Amino acid sequence: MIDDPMDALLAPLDPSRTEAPPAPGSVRYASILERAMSDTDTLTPISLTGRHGRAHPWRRYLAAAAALVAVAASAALLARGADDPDPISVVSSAAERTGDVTSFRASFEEETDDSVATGTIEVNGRDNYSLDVITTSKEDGHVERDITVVIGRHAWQKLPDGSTHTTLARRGGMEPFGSSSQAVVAAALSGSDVAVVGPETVRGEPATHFRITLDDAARSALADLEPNVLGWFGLNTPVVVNTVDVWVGGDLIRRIQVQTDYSSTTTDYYDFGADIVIERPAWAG
Amino acid sequence: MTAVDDAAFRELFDAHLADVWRYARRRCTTSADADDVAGETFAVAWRRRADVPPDGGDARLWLLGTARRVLANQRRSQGRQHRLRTRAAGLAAPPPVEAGSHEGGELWRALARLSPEDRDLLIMRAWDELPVQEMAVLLGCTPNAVSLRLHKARRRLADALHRTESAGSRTSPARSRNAEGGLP
Repeated sequence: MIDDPMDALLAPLDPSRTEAPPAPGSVRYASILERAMSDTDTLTPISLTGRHGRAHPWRRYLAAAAALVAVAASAALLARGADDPDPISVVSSAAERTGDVTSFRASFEEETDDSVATGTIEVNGRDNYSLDVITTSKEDGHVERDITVVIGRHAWQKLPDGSTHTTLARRGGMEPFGSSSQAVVAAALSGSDVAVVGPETVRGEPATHFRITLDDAARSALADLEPNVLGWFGLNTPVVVNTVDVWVGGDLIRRIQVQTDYSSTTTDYYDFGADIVIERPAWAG
Repeated sequence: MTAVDDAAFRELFDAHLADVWRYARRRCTTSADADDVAGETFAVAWRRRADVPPDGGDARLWLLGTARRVLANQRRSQGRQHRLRTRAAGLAAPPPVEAGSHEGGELWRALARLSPEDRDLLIMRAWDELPVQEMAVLLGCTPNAVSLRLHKARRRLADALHRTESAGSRTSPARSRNAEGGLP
Protein backbone atom coordinates (compact mmCIF):
# COMPACT_ATOMS: atom_id res chain seq x y z
CA MET A 1 0.00 0.00 0.00
CA ILE A 2 1.39 3.39 -1.00
CA ASP A 3 1.12 5.68 2.00
CA ASP A 4 3.82 8.25 1.47
CA PRO A 5 3.87 11.12 -1.05
CA MET A 6 7.38 10.18 -2.21
CA ASP A 7 6.29 6.58 -2.79
CA ALA A 8 3.30 7.86 -4.75
CA LEU A 9 5.65 9.96 -6.86
CA LEU A 10 7.82 6.94 -7.60
CA ALA A 11 5.07 4.42 -8.21
CA PRO A 12 4.25 5.42 -11.82
CA LEU A 13 7.87 4.85 -12.83
CA ASP A 14 7.70 1.14 -11.97
CA PRO A 15 8.85 -0.56 -15.22
CA SER A 16 6.89 -3.70 -14.42
CA ARG A 17 3.66 -1.74 -14.81
CA THR A 18 4.06 -1.74 -18.55
CA GLU A 19 5.67 -5.14 -19.02
CA ALA A 20 4.12 -8.41 -17.97
CA PRO A 21 6.04 -11.34 -16.51
CA PRO A 22 6.35 -14.46 -18.64
CA ALA A 23 2.91 -15.99 -18.99
CA PRO A 24 2.32 -19.62 -17.96
CA GLY A 25 2.54 -21.80 -21.06
CA SER A 26 4.70 -19.30 -22.94
CA VAL A 27 8.14 -20.15 -24.33
CA ARG A 28 9.80 -17.73 -21.91
CA TYR A 29 8.02 -19.30 -18.95
CA ALA A 30 9.03 -22.80 -19.97
CA SER A 31 12.56 -21.69 -20.71
CA ILE A 32 13.09 -20.20 -17.23
CA LEU A 33 11.64 -23.30 -15.57
CA GLU A 34 13.75 -25.65 -17.68
CA ARG A 35 16.91 -23.68 -16.98
CA ALA A 36 16.23 -23.77 -13.24
CA MET A 37 15.49 -27.47 -13.03
CA SER A 38 18.37 -28.52 -15.27
CA ASP A 39 20.86 -26.89 -12.93
CA THR A 40 22.64 -29.70 -11.14
CA ASP A 41 25.38 -27.76 -9.36
CA THR A 42 25.48 -28.34 -5.65
CA LEU A 43 25.68 -25.58 -3.14
CA THR A 44 26.60 -25.71 0.50
CA PRO A 45 23.43 -24.76 2.32
CA ILE A 46 23.74 -21.35 3.91
CA SER A 47 21.23 -19.50 5.99
CA LEU A 48 19.85 -16.27 4.61
CA THR A 49 21.08 -13.32 6.58
CA GLY A 50 17.67 -11.76 6.66
CA ARG A 51 15.75 -14.77 7.88
CA HIS A 52 17.10 -14.49 11.37
CA GLY A 53 17.11 -10.73 11.50
CA ARG A 54 20.77 -10.46 12.50
CA ALA A 55 24.09 -10.22 10.77
CA HIS A 56 26.49 -13.11 10.23
CA PRO A 57 29.35 -13.28 12.76
CA TRP A 58 31.93 -12.27 10.15
CA ARG A 59 30.14 -8.96 9.77
CA ARG A 60 30.68 -8.33 13.46
CA TYR A 61 34.38 -9.24 13.11
CA LEU A 62 34.70 -6.85 10.19
CA ALA A 63 32.94 -4.13 12.12
CA ALA A 64 35.33 -4.67 15.03
CA ALA A 65 38.32 -4.54 12.70
CA ALA A 66 37.00 -1.36 11.10
CA ALA A 67 36.57 0.17 14.53
CA LEU A 68 40.19 -0.67 15.38
CA VAL A 69 41.38 0.98 12.16
CA ALA A 70 39.32 4.06 12.97
CA VAL A 71 40.79 4.22 16.47
CA ALA A 72 44.31 3.85 15.08
CA ALA A 73 43.70 6.58 12.54
CA SER A 74 42.30 8.87 15.22
CA ALA A 75 45.33 8.19 17.42
CA ALA A 76 47.63 9.12 14.55
CA LEU A 77 45.69 12.33 14.10
CA LEU A 78 45.94 13.18 17.79
CA ALA A 79 49.68 12.47 17.72
CA ARG A 80 50.22 15.27 15.22
CA GLY A 81 52.19 18.10 16.76
CA ALA A 82 50.77 21.56 17.15
CA ASP A 83 53.25 22.98 14.61
CA ASP A 84 52.58 20.38 11.95
CA PRO A 85 50.74 21.66 8.89
CA ASP A 86 47.03 21.05 8.66
CA PRO A 87 46.46 17.75 6.74
CA ILE A 88 43.69 19.27 4.66
CA SER A 89 46.01 22.10 3.56
CA VAL A 90 48.78 19.65 2.68
CA VAL A 91 46.50 17.39 0.62
CA SER A 92 44.72 20.32 -1.04
CA SER A 93 47.98 21.97 -2.01
CA ALA A 94 49.36 18.72 -3.45
CA ALA A 95 46.12 18.14 -5.37
CA GLU A 96 46.33 21.63 -6.89
CA ARG A 97 49.96 21.19 -7.90
CA THR A 98 49.26 17.77 -9.38
CA GLY A 99 46.40 19.30 -11.34
CA ASP A 100 48.86 21.70 -12.93
CA VAL A 101 51.17 18.95 -14.19
CA THR A 102 50.55 18.28 -17.86
CA SER A 103 52.60 15.16 -18.41
CA PHE A 104 53.13 12.16 -16.19
CA ARG A 105 52.65 8.44 -15.95
CA ALA A 106 50.44 6.50 -13.61
CA SER A 107 49.88 2.87 -12.81
CA PHE A 108 46.82 1.51 -11.12
CA GLU A 109 45.44 -1.66 -9.62
CA GLU A 110 41.75 -2.19 -9.12
CA GLU A 111 40.55 -5.16 -7.09
CA THR A 112 36.96 -6.27 -6.89
CA ASP A 113 35.34 -9.41 -5.55
CA ASP A 114 35.80 -11.18 -8.85
CA SER A 115 38.82 -9.65 -10.58
CA VAL A 116 42.05 -7.71 -10.39
CA ALA A 117 42.79 -5.11 -13.05
CA THR A 118 46.19 -3.52 -13.46
CA GLY A 119 47.00 -0.78 -15.88
CA THR A 120 49.29 2.01 -16.95
CA ILE A 121 48.32 5.47 -18.00
CA GLU A 122 50.47 7.96 -19.92
CA VAL A 123 49.33 11.53 -20.20
CA ASN A 124 50.66 14.44 -22.19
CA GLY A 125 48.43 17.44 -22.37
CA ARG A 126 44.72 17.82 -22.01
CA ASP A 127 43.48 15.38 -24.60
CA ASN A 128 46.37 13.02 -25.23
CA TYR A 129 46.59 9.86 -23.20
CA SER A 130 47.03 6.13 -23.46
CA LEU A 131 45.63 3.46 -21.22
CA ASP A 132 46.57 -0.20 -21.08
CA VAL A 133 44.49 -2.40 -18.78
CA ILE A 134 44.94 -6.09 -18.00
CA THR A 135 42.10 -7.73 -16.10
CA THR A 136 42.45 -11.13 -14.46
CA SER A 137 39.44 -13.06 -13.27
CA LYS A 138 39.79 -14.41 -9.74
CA GLU A 139 37.39 -17.20 -10.54
CA ASP A 140 39.11 -18.85 -13.49
CA GLY A 141 42.30 -16.86 -14.10
CA HIS A 142 41.02 -15.60 -17.45
CA VAL A 143 43.04 -12.60 -18.62
CA GLU A 144 41.72 -9.76 -20.77
CA ARG A 145 43.62 -6.80 -22.18
CA ASP A 146 42.08 -3.51 -23.22
CA ILE A 147 44.17 -0.74 -24.81
CA THR A 148 43.00 2.78 -25.56
CA VAL A 149 44.92 5.64 -27.13
CA VAL A 150 43.36 9.08 -27.40
CA ILE A 151 44.94 11.93 -29.32
CA GLY A 152 42.72 14.95 -29.46
CA ARG A 153 39.36 13.81 -30.75
CA HIS A 154 40.68 10.57 -32.21
CA ALA A 155 40.45 7.39 -30.17
CA TRP A 156 41.78 3.94 -30.94
CA GLN A 157 40.72 0.93 -28.98
CA LYS A 158 41.92 -2.64 -28.92
CA LEU A 159 39.40 -4.78 -27.10
CA PRO A 160 39.96 -8.09 -25.29
CA ASP A 161 38.67 -10.06 -28.27
CA GLY A 162 41.52 -8.62 -30.36
CA SER A 163 39.28 -6.38 -32.41
CA THR A 164 40.44 -2.81 -33.02
CA HIS A 165 38.28 0.25 -33.37
CA THR A 166 39.02 3.72 -34.62
CA THR A 167 36.58 6.35 -33.62
CA LEU A 168 36.07 9.91 -32.57
CA ALA A 169 36.28 10.46 -28.84
CA ARG A 170 33.15 11.83 -27.39
CA ARG A 171 32.90 15.59 -27.26
CA GLY A 172 33.92 16.67 -23.84
CA GLY A 173 35.68 13.24 -23.50
CA MET A 174 37.65 12.62 -20.37
CA GLU A 175 38.82 15.54 -18.34
CA PRO A 176 42.60 15.68 -17.95
CA PHE A 177 43.80 13.10 -15.46
CA GLY A 178 45.74 15.59 -13.36
CA SER A 179 42.91 18.05 -12.88
CA SER A 180 40.50 15.13 -12.37
CA SER A 181 42.69 13.95 -9.51
CA GLN A 182 42.61 17.45 -8.08
CA ALA A 183 38.82 17.63 -8.35
CA VAL A 184 38.27 14.23 -6.78
CA VAL A 185 40.56 14.95 -3.84
CA ALA A 186 39.00 18.39 -3.34
CA ALA A 187 35.50 16.88 -3.32
CA ALA A 188 36.57 14.10 -0.96
CA LEU A 189 37.98 16.70 1.41
CA SER A 190 34.74 18.66 1.69
CA GLY A 191 33.51 18.12 5.18
CA SER A 192 35.44 14.89 5.69
CA ASP A 193 37.86 13.85 8.39
CA VAL A 194 41.49 13.70 7.33
CA ALA A 195 43.93 11.69 9.38
CA VAL A 196 47.70 11.44 9.06
CA VAL A 197 48.51 7.75 8.84
CA GLY A 198 52.27 8.34 8.72
CA PRO A 199 55.40 8.50 6.58
CA GLU A 200 55.76 5.87 3.86
CA THR A 201 57.54 5.34 0.56
CA VAL A 202 55.86 5.32 -2.86
CA ARG A 203 57.98 4.07 -5.76
CA GLY A 204 61.10 4.98 -3.82
CA GLU A 205 59.93 8.51 -2.99
CA PRO A 206 59.24 9.54 0.61
CA ALA A 207 55.59 10.45 1.11
CA THR A 208 53.10 11.10 3.85
CA HIS A 209 50.03 8.93 3.92
CA PHE A 210 46.68 10.66 4.66
CA ARG A 211 43.33 8.97 5.06
CA ILE A 212 40.12 10.80 4.15
CA THR A 213 37.05 9.16 5.62
CA LEU A 214 34.10 10.36 3.62
CA ASP A 215 30.86 11.64 5.06
CA ASP A 216 27.61 12.26 3.19
CA ALA A 217 28.65 15.81 2.27
CA ALA A 218 31.83 14.55 0.65
CA ARG A 219 29.98 11.77 -1.20
CA SER A 220 27.50 14.34 -2.41
CA ALA A 221 30.36 16.58 -3.59
CA LEU A 222 31.83 13.63 -5.46
CA ALA A 223 28.46 12.87 -7.01
CA ASP A 224 28.37 16.42 -8.34
CA LEU A 225 31.53 15.83 -10.39
CA GLU A 226 31.10 14.88 -14.01
CA PRO A 227 31.45 11.21 -15.04
CA ASN A 228 34.40 12.14 -17.26
CA VAL A 229 36.25 13.17 -14.09
CA LEU A 230 35.13 10.28 -11.89
CA GLY A 231 35.65 7.64 -14.58
CA TRP A 232 39.42 7.75 -14.12
CA PHE A 233 38.99 6.34 -10.64
CA GLY A 234 36.16 3.94 -11.31
CA LEU A 235 33.97 6.27 -9.28
CA ASN A 236 30.79 6.02 -11.28
CA THR A 237 28.88 5.47 -8.08
CA PRO A 238 30.50 7.88 -5.63
CA VAL A 239 27.96 7.09 -2.96
CA VAL A 240 29.64 3.75 -2.28
CA VAL A 241 33.04 5.32 -1.54
CA ASN A 242 34.15 4.82 2.03
CA THR A 243 37.69 6.18 2.19
CA VAL A 244 40.13 7.98 -0.07
CA ASP A 245 43.77 7.56 0.95
CA VAL A 246 46.26 10.05 -0.46
CA TRP A 247 50.06 9.89 -0.34
CA VAL A 248 51.75 13.28 -0.72
CA GLY A 249 55.46 13.74 -1.46
CA GLY A 250 57.27 16.81 -2.74
CA ASP A 251 53.96 18.71 -2.68
CA LEU A 252 52.57 16.35 -5.33
CA ILE A 253 50.13 13.48 -5.08
CA ARG A 254 52.08 10.26 -5.39
CA ARG A 255 49.30 7.77 -4.79
CA ILE A 256 45.51 7.74 -4.42
CA GLN A 257 43.65 4.74 -3.06
CA VAL A 258 39.85 4.66 -3.28
CA GLN A 259 37.94 2.10 -1.20
CA THR A 260 34.32 1.47 -2.11
CA ASP A 261 31.81 -1.12 -1.03
CA TYR A 262 32.78 -3.19 -4.05
CA SER A 263 36.35 -2.35 -4.96
CA SER A 264 39.71 -0.92 -4.06
CA THR A 265 41.61 1.14 -6.63
CA THR A 266 45.20 2.25 -6.06
CA THR A 267 46.78 4.69 -8.51
CA ASP A 268 50.47 5.65 -8.38
CA TYR A 269 51.65 8.82 -10.13
CA TYR A 270 55.22 9.23 -11.35
CA ASP A 271 57.43 10.72 -14.07
CA PHE A 272 55.90 14.14 -13.50
CA GLY A 273 56.87 16.52 -16.31
CA ALA A 274 58.53 13.74 -18.32
CA ASP A 275 58.79 13.99 -22.09
CA ILE A 276 55.92 11.68 -22.96
CA VAL A 277 54.84 11.13 -26.54
CA ILE A 278 51.40 9.69 -27.25
CA GLU A 279 51.38 8.18 -30.71
CA ARG A 280 48.80 6.61 -32.93
CA PRO A 281 49.20 2.88 -32.22
CA ALA A 282 50.70 0.63 -34.87
CA TRP A 283 47.67 -1.68 -34.71
CA ALA A 284 45.37 1.21 -35.54
CA GLY A 285 45.81 0.45 -39.23
CA MET B 1 15.38 -36.06 -7.99
CA THR B 2 12.01 -37.44 -6.95
CA ALA B 3 8.58 -36.83 -8.40
CA VAL B 4 7.61 -35.08 -5.18
CA ASP B 5 10.56 -32.72 -5.50
CA ASP B 6 9.67 -32.05 -9.09
CA ALA B 7 5.98 -31.38 -8.48
CA ALA B 8 6.61 -29.27 -5.39
CA PHE B 9 9.16 -27.18 -7.24
CA ARG B 10 6.81 -26.59 -10.15
CA GLU B 11 4.17 -25.42 -7.68
CA LEU B 12 6.66 -23.05 -6.13
CA PHE B 13 7.61 -21.79 -9.57
CA ASP B 14 4.00 -21.30 -10.66
CA ALA B 15 3.15 -19.48 -7.47
CA HIS B 16 6.07 -17.08 -7.39
CA LEU B 17 7.62 -16.57 -10.82
CA ALA B 18 5.59 -13.42 -11.45
CA ASP B 19 6.65 -11.84 -8.15
CA VAL B 20 10.29 -12.76 -8.61
CA TRP B 21 10.28 -11.54 -12.21
CA ARG B 22 8.71 -8.20 -11.25
CA TYR B 23 11.22 -7.80 -8.42
CA ALA B 24 14.03 -8.41 -10.95
CA ARG B 25 12.50 -6.26 -13.68
CA ARG B 26 12.36 -3.27 -11.36
CA ARG B 27 16.12 -3.55 -10.94
CA CYS B 28 17.20 -4.55 -14.47
CA THR B 29 17.48 -2.70 -17.73
CA THR B 30 15.43 -5.05 -19.91
CA SER B 31 12.84 -7.81 -19.69
CA ALA B 32 15.43 -10.25 -20.97
CA ASP B 33 17.71 -9.34 -18.05
CA ALA B 34 14.81 -9.94 -15.68
CA ASP B 35 14.25 -13.35 -17.29
CA ASP B 36 17.90 -14.17 -16.59
CA VAL B 37 17.71 -13.06 -12.96
CA ALA B 38 14.47 -14.97 -12.41
CA GLY B 39 16.03 -18.03 -14.04
CA GLU B 40 19.12 -17.85 -11.84
CA THR B 41 16.99 -17.27 -8.75
CA PHE B 42 14.94 -20.38 -9.39
CA ALA B 43 18.08 -22.32 -10.29
CA VAL B 44 19.41 -21.51 -6.83
CA ALA B 45 16.05 -22.53 -5.36
CA TRP B 46 16.22 -25.82 -7.27
CA ARG B 47 19.74 -26.55 -6.05
CA ARG B 48 18.78 -25.67 -2.50
CA ARG B 49 15.20 -26.89 -2.56
CA ALA B 50 15.68 -28.56 0.80
CA ASP B 51 16.26 -25.11 2.31
CA VAL B 52 13.28 -23.34 0.77
CA PRO B 53 10.69 -22.71 3.48
CA PRO B 54 7.20 -24.16 3.04
CA ASP B 55 5.06 -22.18 0.66
CA GLY B 56 3.42 -19.01 1.81
CA GLY B 57 5.00 -15.71 2.73
CA ASP B 58 8.26 -17.33 3.83
CA ALA B 59 8.90 -18.98 0.46
CA ARG B 60 8.21 -15.75 -1.38
CA LEU B 61 10.56 -13.81 0.86
CA TRP B 62 13.21 -16.52 0.53
CA LEU B 63 13.01 -16.22 -3.26
CA LEU B 64 13.11 -12.41 -3.19
CA GLY B 65 16.14 -12.58 -0.90
CA THR B 66 17.82 -14.93 -3.36
CA ALA B 67 16.95 -12.65 -6.29
CA ARG B 68 18.46 -9.79 -4.33
CA ARG B 69 21.78 -11.65 -4.04
CA VAL B 70 21.72 -12.71 -7.70
CA LEU B 71 21.27 -9.06 -8.66
CA ALA B 72 24.07 -7.98 -6.32
CA ASN B 73 26.45 -10.49 -7.93
CA GLN B 74 25.51 -9.28 -11.39
CA ARG B 75 25.93 -5.66 -10.36
CA ARG B 76 29.43 -6.30 -9.07
CA SER B 77 30.44 -8.03 -12.28
CA GLN B 78 28.80 -5.44 -14.52
CA GLY B 79 30.23 -2.67 -12.37
CA ARG B 80 33.73 -3.86 -13.14
CA GLN B 81 33.03 -3.95 -16.87
CA HIS B 82 31.33 -0.56 -16.71
CA ARG B 83 34.21 1.03 -14.83
CA LEU B 84 36.83 -0.28 -17.22
CA ARG B 85 34.88 0.60 -20.33
CA THR B 86 34.17 4.06 -19.00
CA ARG B 87 37.78 4.63 -18.21
CA ALA B 88 39.04 3.12 -21.43
CA ALA B 89 36.78 4.91 -23.85
CA GLY B 90 36.36 8.14 -21.98
CA LEU B 91 32.66 7.52 -21.86
CA ALA B 92 30.08 7.60 -19.19
CA ALA B 93 27.06 5.39 -19.56
CA PRO B 94 24.03 6.43 -17.53
CA PRO B 95 23.52 4.69 -14.21
CA PRO B 96 21.51 1.45 -14.55
CA VAL B 97 18.55 2.97 -12.79
CA GLU B 98 18.08 5.41 -15.67
CA ALA B 99 18.07 2.78 -18.34
CA GLY B 100 14.89 2.39 -20.29
CA SER B 101 13.23 5.37 -18.76
CA HIS B 102 11.69 8.01 -20.95
CA GLU B 103 9.40 9.69 -18.49
CA GLY B 104 10.00 11.28 -15.13
CA GLY B 105 13.50 12.25 -16.22
CA GLU B 106 14.28 14.44 -13.23
CA LEU B 107 12.99 11.84 -10.82
CA TRP B 108 15.11 9.16 -12.50
CA ARG B 109 18.16 11.40 -12.29
CA ALA B 110 17.43 12.11 -8.63
CA LEU B 111 17.15 8.37 -8.00
CA ALA B 112 20.46 7.84 -9.77
CA ARG B 113 22.14 10.21 -7.33
CA LEU B 114 21.17 8.08 -4.36
CA SER B 115 23.18 5.22 -2.94
CA PRO B 116 22.19 1.74 -4.14
CA GLU B 117 20.98 1.05 -0.59
CA ASP B 118 18.67 4.08 -0.57
CA ARG B 119 17.36 3.25 -4.04
CA ASP B 120 16.67 -0.32 -3.05
CA LEU B 121 14.74 0.76 0.03
CA LEU B 122 12.59 3.19 -1.95
CA ILE B 123 11.93 0.66 -4.69
CA MET B 124 11.04 -2.05 -2.20
CA ARG B 125 8.43 0.21 -0.70
CA ALA B 126 7.07 2.11 -3.71
CA TRP B 127 7.25 -0.57 -6.38
CA ASP B 128 7.39 -3.93 -4.61
CA GLU B 129 4.97 -2.55 -2.00
CA LEU B 130 6.64 -4.67 0.65
CA PRO B 131 5.56 -4.02 4.23
CA VAL B 132 8.28 -2.74 6.53
CA GLN B 133 8.32 -6.08 8.37
CA GLU B 134 9.12 -7.99 5.16
CA MET B 135 11.74 -5.42 4.17
CA ALA B 136 13.35 -5.99 7.55
CA VAL B 137 13.54 -9.72 6.88
CA LEU B 138 15.11 -9.16 3.45
CA LEU B 139 17.59 -6.62 4.75
CA GLY B 140 18.45 -8.48 7.93
CA CYS B 141 17.59 -5.68 10.33
CA THR B 142 14.77 -4.61 12.59
CA PRO B 143 11.55 -3.00 11.33
CA ASN B 144 12.44 0.12 13.30
CA ALA B 145 15.77 0.35 11.50
CA VAL B 146 13.99 -0.04 8.14
CA SER B 147 11.54 2.73 9.01
CA LEU B 148 14.37 5.04 9.98
CA ARG B 149 16.42 4.26 6.88
CA LEU B 150 13.35 4.63 4.70
CA HIS B 151 12.64 8.02 6.20
CA LYS B 152 16.20 9.14 5.51
CA ALA B 153 16.14 7.72 1.97
CA ARG B 154 12.94 9.62 1.19
CA ARG B 155 14.48 12.80 2.54
CA ARG B 156 17.63 12.27 0.46
CA LEU B 157 15.50 11.62 -2.62
CA ALA B 158 13.63 14.87 -2.00
CA ASP B 159 16.95 16.71 -1.65
CA ALA B 160 18.35 15.06 -4.78
CA LEU B 161 15.19 15.92 -6.69
CA HIS B 162 15.43 19.53 -5.59
CA ARG B 163 19.08 19.68 -6.65
CA THR B 164 18.37 17.95 -9.95
CA GLU B 165 15.62 20.42 -10.73
CA SER B 166 17.94 23.31 -9.84
CA ALA B 167 20.72 21.86 -12.00
CA GLY B 168 18.27 21.36 -14.84
CA SER B 169 17.34 25.01 -14.77
CA ARG B 170 21.07 25.94 -14.93
CA THR B 171 21.79 23.48 -17.79
CA SER B 172 25.49 22.91 -17.25
CA PRO B 173 27.28 22.79 -20.63
CA ALA B 174 29.46 19.92 -19.44
CA ARG B 175 26.42 17.96 -18.34
CA SER B 176 24.80 18.59 -21.71
CA ARG B 177 27.86 17.29 -23.51
CA ASN B 178 27.83 14.14 -21.44
CA ALA B 179 24.19 13.57 -22.21
CA GLU B 180 24.80 13.51 -25.93
CA GLY B 181 25.50 9.83 -26.16
CA GLY B 182 28.53 7.65 -26.67
CA LEU B 183 30.96 7.16 -29.44
CA PRO B 184 29.48 8.03 -32.81
